[in-house]
Amino acid sequence: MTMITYRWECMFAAVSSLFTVFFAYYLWRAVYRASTTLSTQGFEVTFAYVAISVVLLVTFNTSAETNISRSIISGDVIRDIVRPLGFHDSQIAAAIGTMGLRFLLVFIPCMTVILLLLPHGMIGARNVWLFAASLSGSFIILLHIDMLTGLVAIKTEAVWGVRLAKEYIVSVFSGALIPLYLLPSSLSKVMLLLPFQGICHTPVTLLTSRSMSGMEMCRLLGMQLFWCVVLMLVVNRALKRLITKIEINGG
Amino acid sequence: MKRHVQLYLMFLSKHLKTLMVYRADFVIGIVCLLLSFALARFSIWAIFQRTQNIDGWIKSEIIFAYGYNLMVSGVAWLFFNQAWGLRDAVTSGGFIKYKIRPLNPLFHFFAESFDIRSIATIALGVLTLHAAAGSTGFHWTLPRTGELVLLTLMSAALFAGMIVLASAMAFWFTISNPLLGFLASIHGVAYFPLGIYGRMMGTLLSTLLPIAFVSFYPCSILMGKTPSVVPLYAMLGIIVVLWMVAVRLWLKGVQRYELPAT
Repeated sequence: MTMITYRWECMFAAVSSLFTVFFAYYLWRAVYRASTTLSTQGFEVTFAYVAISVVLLVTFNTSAETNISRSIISGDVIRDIVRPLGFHDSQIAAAIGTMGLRFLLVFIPCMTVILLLLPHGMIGARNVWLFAASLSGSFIILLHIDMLTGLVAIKTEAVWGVRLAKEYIVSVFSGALIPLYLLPSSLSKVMLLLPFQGICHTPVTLLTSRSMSGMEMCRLLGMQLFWCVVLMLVVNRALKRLITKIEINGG
Repeated sequence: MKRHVQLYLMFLSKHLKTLMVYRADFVIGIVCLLLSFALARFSIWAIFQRTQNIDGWIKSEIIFAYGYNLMVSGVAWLFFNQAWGLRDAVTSGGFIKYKIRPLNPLFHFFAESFDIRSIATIALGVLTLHAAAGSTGFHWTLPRTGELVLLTLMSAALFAGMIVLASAMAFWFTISNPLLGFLASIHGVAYFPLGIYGRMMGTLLSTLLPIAFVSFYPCSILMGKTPSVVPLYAMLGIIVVLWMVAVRLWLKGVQRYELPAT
């Protein structure tokens, strides 16, 4: 309901994402045109990779870190604690609501534009199903990284700085800024082991790669599932620990 | 004018005292700023691992423009970072204090906060630009350095005008913060040559959304890539028009502002 009140923000996020999609298109076209080591056929894949990653990050941006840090610093957390639904679950439910509206107003229009810019037949039906399957994993990983950021922000009392750092780390390590396959192999090997790759690299690779083996698909989805479980457990534990120690001043 | 300078200094000293309370936030903010700088440099490095130039601009020229871009954004946000808080001040009712005091509300609102972290952004910009300048057409002579300072201030004035205009939307819609976020994100890629964006997008970025004048045109002049001074005159004209519109819209917004119902 809160998000519907701020629907103009959502619509503006869609316009803003479309601009970013166009910027990515022109920038990578220029890079591919000038490059002697990259084949021009790879441009469509790179553009799809970066543009869809941007759309995923905007769609799944639920500002959970700000909500958590605000609710704990202001003391509003007490209302969530006394409710029958746990604090962790209530944060997930609120984030799903935010994401639902963004999915309608940002994801669907932006993906339509991206697919129109890509050559016909580039994406197969099997790829679409695999992409759809990996979206929930992508959302869970980003949401829990946001929640952890909120908890770090409370500990350090540096909400702005920590949030800024998280945004940069996520955009670089997830592949949204530079596709992971374009990085030097030693670096991309390390990045492929981290949870961030599950946010953008996994869904976009499953969507754009037509020659991927069944084994490789299972590995990507399995890795994503592994990080979802680990992050959910870590956040759940960290929230429980924090809530038992929290002190709220009366006012 | 003298009164406003005195008031600004008074607000500044008050704000610095407030910052002393949040020392940890400041230190971590600076560390995170350095991290974001390192990651941005990393992305330029990664792009140039795959190509020799972008629309004819080599790596050092792009880094020069990136450094210039940092300096410009640092100067603009240093004085106008408070724009991010306007929407909350308007919706919460806290803005009423600016309306009832015997001071220009626009001056009062922006003078109350001074983003000291932006000094670190400016310093990073100067260092980056200095390191890259040797491989570009820019030489550190007195007239060229003067030209650099003048252009940086003009670019910052233009960008600040866009910030004030975007923040003014808070009086009508709730989109002012996403609009500011949008400005910050397109400014973040403004250091790439305009030629890559094609004719339609290039025209848009030079007219309705004049972000090309914030970095591309001034850097082209500084690196000797364009002998023409036409962009300089166009930039001056845009700054004047933009500020006239921004101030008028902002003050109109203040006029129609009423306390929200509780």
